[in-house]
Amino acid sequence: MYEKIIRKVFMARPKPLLVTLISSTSQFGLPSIVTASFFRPNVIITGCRALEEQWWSHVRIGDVYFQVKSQDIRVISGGSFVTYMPTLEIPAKIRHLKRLTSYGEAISVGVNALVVKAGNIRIGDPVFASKHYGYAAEDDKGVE
Amino acid sequence: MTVSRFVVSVAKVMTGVGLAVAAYVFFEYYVAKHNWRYQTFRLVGEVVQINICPLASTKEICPEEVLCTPKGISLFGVHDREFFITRTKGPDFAVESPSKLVKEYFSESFREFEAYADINVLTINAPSGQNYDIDLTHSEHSHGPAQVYRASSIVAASDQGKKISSWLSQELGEEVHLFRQTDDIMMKFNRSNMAMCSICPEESVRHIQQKVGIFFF
Repeated sequence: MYEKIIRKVFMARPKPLLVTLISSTSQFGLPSIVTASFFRPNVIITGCRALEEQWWSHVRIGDVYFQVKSQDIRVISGGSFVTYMPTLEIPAKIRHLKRLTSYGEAISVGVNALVVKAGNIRIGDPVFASKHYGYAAEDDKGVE
Repeated sequence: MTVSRFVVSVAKVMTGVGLAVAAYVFFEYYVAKHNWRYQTFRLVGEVVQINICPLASTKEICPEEVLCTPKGISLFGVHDREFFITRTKGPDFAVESPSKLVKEYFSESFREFEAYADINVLTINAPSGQNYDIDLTHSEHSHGPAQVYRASSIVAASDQGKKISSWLSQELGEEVHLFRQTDDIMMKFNRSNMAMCSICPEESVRHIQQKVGIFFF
């Protein structure tokens, strides 16, 4: 029924873009030194409600359209993330992250999106999103 | 007299129908061109930071503007995480035999490196203050393409040469190789779903063309 096409994605990650919301990361109760950059996203957005991105279907930044493919799930292993703090250059294994276990063993820190319509994005560009209802963005399953 | 009036009225009706069809086709085309259909986008925020990391696991750079293509984001033609490091020893390394599997390598010490992309040049800054420029137009491939295991996928990548590898090894204190991803992770997704959301206008244009074809031919 549906036409299947193959879209090439050039990334170490299976999705070309990780979009993280400042409001979402602040929701985790992390210390103020831990910013959204902690999760090494490609685009950081402010002005949104916390965890709002889970309901996004498509995103438009400037003239560029993205299709949200999945949530970016970070697994908490022993109370810490397997990542680093880029700005402070210290390992991310900080005790404060134990708080996150209250959210479960894995949390979503943003969404992975595919670029559907190409263009330039700039700092200060307004971000528009369309929502889908009834279910949140799927977990990572896309790469074949 | 009656026949001529009939012909005139038929001509009027046909003209009206023709105009209506033309207006409909034009409207469909305009809607498709400007992505009006199904447009439910609303303002949710603004971009405050853009990060790109040409060499995987190193410090991110925060440009003011990047190009987004279906292949991902890129700065001066270098994609995000396009370059990466592998070890030269151990079970993960097999560069001597092309097409054998190599595994991407991460280390905390990579975070102290910075990689800047410029026009045809990738500059890697080491914490010691030394830097190395890689000419992107003329790579020194010391080996053939290798298969690299990256993020649950196997991709093709090329070794960037002994010169840069030895420099990186010296700076990192362990033997490593620099690779550049050459092919893409293949991924399938549903085109029709995209068209439904009016972010793929060519699909709608094709739809209109089909409609026009059915109507006129």
